[in-house]
Amino acid sequence: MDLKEIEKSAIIEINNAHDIIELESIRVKYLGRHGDLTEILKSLKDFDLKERKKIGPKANDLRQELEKLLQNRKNDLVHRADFPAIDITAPGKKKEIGHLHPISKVQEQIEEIFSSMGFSVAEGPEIETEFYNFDALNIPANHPARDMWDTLWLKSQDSTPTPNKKLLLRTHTSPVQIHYMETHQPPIRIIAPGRAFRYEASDASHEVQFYQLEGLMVDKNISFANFKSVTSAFLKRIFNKNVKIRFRLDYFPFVEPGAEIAVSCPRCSGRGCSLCKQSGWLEIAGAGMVHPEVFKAVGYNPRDVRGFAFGFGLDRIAMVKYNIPDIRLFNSGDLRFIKQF
Amino acid sequence: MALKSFEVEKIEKAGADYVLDVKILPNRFSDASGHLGLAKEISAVLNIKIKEPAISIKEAAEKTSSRLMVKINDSKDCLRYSARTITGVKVGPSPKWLAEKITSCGLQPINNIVDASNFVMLETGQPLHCFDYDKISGQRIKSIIVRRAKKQETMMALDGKNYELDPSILVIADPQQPLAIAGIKGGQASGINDGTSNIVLESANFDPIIIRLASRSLKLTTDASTRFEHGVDPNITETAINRLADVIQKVAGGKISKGIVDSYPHKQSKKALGFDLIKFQEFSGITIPTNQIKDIFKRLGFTIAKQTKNNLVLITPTGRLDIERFEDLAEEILRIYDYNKVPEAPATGILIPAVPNEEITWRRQIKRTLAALGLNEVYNYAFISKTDLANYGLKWEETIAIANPLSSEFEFLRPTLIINLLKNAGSNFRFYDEVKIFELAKVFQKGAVEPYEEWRVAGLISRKDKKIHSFLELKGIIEKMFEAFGLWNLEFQDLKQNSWLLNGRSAEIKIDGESLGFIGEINPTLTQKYNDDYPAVIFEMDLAKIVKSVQEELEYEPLAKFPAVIRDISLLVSAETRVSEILNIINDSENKILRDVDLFDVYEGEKLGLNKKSLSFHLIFQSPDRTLTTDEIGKSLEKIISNLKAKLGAEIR
Repeated sequence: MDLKEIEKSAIIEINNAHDIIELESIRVKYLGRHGDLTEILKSLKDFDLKERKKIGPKANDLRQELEKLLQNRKNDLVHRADFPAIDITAPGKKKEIGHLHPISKVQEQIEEIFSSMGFSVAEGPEIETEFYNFDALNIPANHPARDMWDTLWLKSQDSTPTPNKKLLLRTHTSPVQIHYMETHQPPIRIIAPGRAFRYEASDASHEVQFYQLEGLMVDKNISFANFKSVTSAFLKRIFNKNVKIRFRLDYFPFVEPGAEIAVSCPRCSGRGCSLCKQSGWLEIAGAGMVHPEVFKAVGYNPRDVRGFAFGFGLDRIAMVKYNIPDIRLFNSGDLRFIKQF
Repeated sequence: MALKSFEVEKIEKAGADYVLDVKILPNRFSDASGHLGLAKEISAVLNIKIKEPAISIKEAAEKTSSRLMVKINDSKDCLRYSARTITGVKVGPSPKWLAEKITSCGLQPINNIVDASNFVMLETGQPLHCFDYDKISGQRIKSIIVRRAKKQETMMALDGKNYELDPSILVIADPQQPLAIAGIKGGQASGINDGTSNIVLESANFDPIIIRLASRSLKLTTDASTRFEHGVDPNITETAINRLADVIQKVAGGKISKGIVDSYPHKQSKKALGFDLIKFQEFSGITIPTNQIKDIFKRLGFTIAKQTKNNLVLITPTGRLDIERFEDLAEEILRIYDYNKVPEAPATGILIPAVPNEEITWRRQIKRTLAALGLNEVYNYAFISKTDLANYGLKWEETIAIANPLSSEFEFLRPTLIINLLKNAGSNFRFYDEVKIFELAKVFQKGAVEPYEEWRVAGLISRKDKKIHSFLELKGIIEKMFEAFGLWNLEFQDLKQNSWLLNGRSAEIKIDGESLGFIGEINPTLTQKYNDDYPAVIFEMDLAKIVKSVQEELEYEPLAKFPAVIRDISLLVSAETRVSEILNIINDSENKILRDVDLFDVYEGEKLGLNKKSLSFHLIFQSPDRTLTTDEIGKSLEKIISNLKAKLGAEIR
């Protein structure tokens, strides 16, 4: 056998050795006193100088390599008895941990994005008066605009409630704007996440109880261009930076100009699919420049300040992000749903 | 158009024509709820000329005023009332073109007169009505009176229903009786039928709030009432009545009386508004050339009355009741220019760092910790039913009720999170053998004067296997959560007289003497109803109190320098002995060098004898200033053991 043949067969035999006895016989076969490699080393002295220089180092290297392999294999075989192999392809043992609700996750993400843009988080009550939910937001009593919000009213505790003091479950998070401006002076940058309620029969896209996030920025010189910049920056962060954003005219009594903000459908990239009803766009937010009547209601002088406000559904964003088909799943308490997040 | 004015719901073919279904924004009913108004809007958006329908009526010699008188009792209720008469019409089915137009807009063809009124209403946005002239009481000159209904007055309407009226409702009447509910619905007595030959055309303008309230109280909404509620331009009654007379003459013949009886006591003049170009530049963040701004205003029907360097004076088209101020004008320019063409500009100004909201931060922490400890977060409705109230023994007079609930399931606001959590458990057992959940939300209760709401956190563990007790597992989760927040001094005290929880398996959770809430196993009467009779352990705590107790900052304790020595003892005690009793005795016996006591094993079995249990503890001895000697530990242990023997009769094993 020449060196190459010895190397090839010895490695195979070492790796296939089943126990230490077999391994020892392999050692004897190649490295023993009359072993194949030993014989070659012994015979080196018979070669001429040129040959010896060529073969000598190679034979020595091979001897060292085989000794190392034998030792490693020996270690393996010795430890195997005490440390039997583990099926590393078997599934890992998992400690059960709980899952957060998808809306909690989305809300946290959104709060972090706005926090990085200098927006603080504000909150308000879920039981509101007619004044905060409507009048202060430029939605006077007996105005058809009130029909935009189907309201759940509370049975009065007081037999003769004062006008504007009738109690209801807030139909949007916008009243938080009013509470906040009443107690703070500009500059203002806030978001207000929370639960809201509508008198509305539920189906896959409507719920009696849903989750909103309101935003408000007020300062001396806020412009429509600023409004577009802040809302676009947010939408690009929450969806992705390549999302297209579309603004179009809309009407909400507490903003003027009013706008609806849509994003190119993230599922089909705007080509049209069932999520965006083939339109390529998803309506995400209602927004606009704060109406002067709203500033008046909180005691600001509309000549001194300008601002913008926006509101969108946290459930809507979660539905788009996670591909959730039915809004009712959020309030179902169904662990088959929750455990996916 | 879809981007600059109204959303297009659909475009579909209807016969030889197309139907364009558009969602008119509520503030634009006054000018755009008719085809003509919408056409004007489209012409402005697309910048093309509009062709208005030509009106050509042939009037007869007889004057309208010699046949009809109109009296408005209060001009606040009715801004304008225009009327004409037509004699000798032939009532019958509408010609095909008219019937088709009416049908394609979603209305039912009735007869040529009614259809013509609806057609012109759809075209102009002005609600119109026709009366049978001969059915109005009175001799040679008939009078029409616009007045409030009298108490208990009734009227049979065209829909065959008899409506009870009251003084909040405006009616059109002759001297004897109401002929119509103003702006909402005509009356049967004066209605058009096949025998009608002389008619009165009404084109009027009523107060939006009166119409809205009447429509609400009568539960009657019509195409006319919706338009009046949103406001209609009082200046279009004349055009509309002439157009109607023209169409009726074409489809039903007849002679049109000369002139209009028109009561319009307070003519609405055109509104002039200034538009500050510099202010607009600042407001919008974009510079649009003045000529382009002027062009947009002109396309929208504004007249530019005056122009100075930085200011325009505009005359508003009368139909645009929504235009009142600078911001409204700014919207007009920006939408037609296109919102999307306005470049984005980052907001400048003082940088204010976001103020962290502590409550929200802690809520987030609690959620994450409970999830890490194995509970899944659920969101539930804020509502419960009357049955829930009864089952939980809650008093309805202390619970907030919804005045207009969607269903009996949603009748009350929940005063506790427990009720819905138990429902969650019940519904999840279809798919799981074990349910571990929590919720963090508001609960609601009646207060002394006003209702109040507060944040709560609640959790539940329930298993099909009744042999596994979950109480200590849930208790451990609560303790671990507080430990994560740096609080180790949670106390659990027996909870008595809680009808939801089992006596002897429930506790009040306290910290520094203050009650945070409770934990316990749900009473079987409730689990039978809500949880297929599977046992469930729950907790509920007041979030504000938790936040208050954890807000005290964590304080560093110096690391121990000297080693701890651990000694184990096992005690045989009577089965009723509580862990807390043993711990109290141990801690009272040694308060200097005993750092901690851990229960690590509990054993109850026949071998021990009846009513006995064995408890094993690690006792951890450590001193901050020296290494303890075997001798002093031995003495201390002896004292502990003798006290346990004396006070509990414990046997040391």
